[in-house]
Amino acid sequence: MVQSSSRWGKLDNTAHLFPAISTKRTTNVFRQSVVLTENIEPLILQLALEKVIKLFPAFKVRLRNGFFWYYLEENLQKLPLVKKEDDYPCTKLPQPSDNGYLFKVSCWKKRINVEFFHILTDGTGAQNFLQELVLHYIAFLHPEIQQFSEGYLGTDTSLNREDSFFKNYKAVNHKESKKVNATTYTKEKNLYSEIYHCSGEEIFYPRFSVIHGFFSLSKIKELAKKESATLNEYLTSVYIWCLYCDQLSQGDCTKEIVIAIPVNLRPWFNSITTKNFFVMAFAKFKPTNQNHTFKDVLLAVKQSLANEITKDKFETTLSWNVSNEKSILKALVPLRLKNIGLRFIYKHTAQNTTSTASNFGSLQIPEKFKPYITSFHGILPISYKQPIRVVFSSYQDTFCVTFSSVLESTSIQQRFFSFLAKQNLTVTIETNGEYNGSM
Amino acid sequence: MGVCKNCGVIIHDTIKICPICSHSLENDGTETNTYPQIFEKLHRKNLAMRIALASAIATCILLLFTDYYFSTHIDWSIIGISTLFFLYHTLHEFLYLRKRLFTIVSGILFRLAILLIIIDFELGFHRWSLDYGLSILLILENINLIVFVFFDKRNQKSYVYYDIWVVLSNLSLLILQALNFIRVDFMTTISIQISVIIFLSLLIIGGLSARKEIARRWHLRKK
Repeated sequence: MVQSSSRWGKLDNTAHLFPAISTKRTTNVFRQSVVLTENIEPLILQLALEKVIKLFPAFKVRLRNGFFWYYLEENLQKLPLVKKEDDYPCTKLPQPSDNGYLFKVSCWKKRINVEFFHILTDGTGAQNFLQELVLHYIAFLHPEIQQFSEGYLGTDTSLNREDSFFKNYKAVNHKESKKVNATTYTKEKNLYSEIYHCSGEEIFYPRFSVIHGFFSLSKIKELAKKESATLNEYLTSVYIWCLYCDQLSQGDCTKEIVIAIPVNLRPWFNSITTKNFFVMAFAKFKPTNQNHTFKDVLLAVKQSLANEITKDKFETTLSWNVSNEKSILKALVPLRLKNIGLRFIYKHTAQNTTSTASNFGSLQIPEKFKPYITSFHGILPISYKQPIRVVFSSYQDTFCVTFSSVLESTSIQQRFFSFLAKQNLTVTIETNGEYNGSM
Repeated sequence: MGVCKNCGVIIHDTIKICPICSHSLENDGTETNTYPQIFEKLHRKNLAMRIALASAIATCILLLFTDYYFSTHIDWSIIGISTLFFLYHTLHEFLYLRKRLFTIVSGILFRLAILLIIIDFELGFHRWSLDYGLSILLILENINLIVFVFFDKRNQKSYVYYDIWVVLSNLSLLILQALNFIRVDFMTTISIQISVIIFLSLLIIGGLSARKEIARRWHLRKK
């Protein structure tokens, strides 16, 4: 939290990892976008941003490196100008032209994009900010809807910046936890070679492909209900099913497919923080032969998520993570060495996951603003050993699945959308042009 | 909008081929691109860098070849390759400007120090790089710092922290001197004096904000 007296603050527990593992390709910068019904005026958007940033002083910060830890410091530099989109999504932040800000606002035709370095916030916090930005922008353009007074904020908007990891930390028995972690680690280590990783020729840096698929939320909910699954379980299963088919096409059918799913901890721990507050749950499917059906995958995903998504499990993970940060011995290690250690641990554990599927949720907008907005979607950057990732998001009845990838092949995306099209869903595709017949 | 008969999906983009299965599309003329075309712009920028890299590699091979066949006493190719590496890195830093200008200049001075030591070593190691080169470069680093303290007003306080590292680098000269790698005392003394004076001036003139800056840079635990 940026304190008003000294104007600097410490990173939350998860955020320490991101500067250590970020590279120009695996940036840990995610994007959320809202598409309006009319073309965006960059100047008006700039005015809206200038107003909104005053309401979110916690985002008016820059990252500094101390001798032992990174920290956030109030950024006294001007806000960077809102520009028309001129780079691939999720490029590294901050660039020198961003004046050290850890977020970036851009626009293209009818779309407003906000990109956040994960240090600052997670999907929920970003959505909070984007919502306010869009409301202010629309109100500037259409004063007949609402005259904003100074300091206007939506009733659902939170500015809370507590570190909920620390707040909900319970002291853990180190010996026991180490024992449990060591056992898990040994088990996991043996599995590394058996985890499926998407491979194939990659498009060269800085190219980055984005494919959005839009369809009806109510219809996909019906499909999930038919299978007695939640929307998340259903879509994650479709994704795993596509990865399983991909594995089969490579002549293999034994490697386990593990999808990391970030779980928002706020509802579980009554938190309204805009800092990072999530842990990863894992949806798993271990194929044994070439004849599995989609129903087999769905069953496995339901079972694995039921085991993963429990408050006890979250409390243990959270407390273990915080206890590591609290350790005085680890704190005394200089930042550069900590980063090397974190990178090593991250690379080791990242081998245990096939891909990530994140749900950015539904954009909540006051009724009178709804006619001006058509869709909401997000984009995840790729990460180590995960050349393809997926985001689910929705606005009113429009559901969006967004694949970000650096793979030349689009077989996974094709299988995913064809699967849904075969379920009588009308799928509409938009891309960023990387696969438009140029290869 | 285009319709792909193979995937059964509708495509918004102005294309004739399905982006996910490469099947031809049936278009109705209402298509529009929802993203800008970034590739061409970046391709041109990267091309300059790739040409520089290719030229550097070709020159390195030429230097090695010439050196191997014609040189007798000195490995000129090592000096040439080191210089090329230094120039390429400097060009890259300025072309992409991914770091703050102060950091870029500091990086150049650091790489220049390594280059000078390599050249000195290749020319018979008369130690001029250690006796004079390192001290002069550290004095230049102090000048770099002072310039930015004056012109980069918003970041003024952060230079106190950087100056700690300049002072420590100067102290490493004393170690080299104790180990007899540096034999000319007066340059080292001048360099150390300048850096200590600048550090103390920044600390005293910066007052409370400078001291707070040091405290936050060295914070150890979350309370």
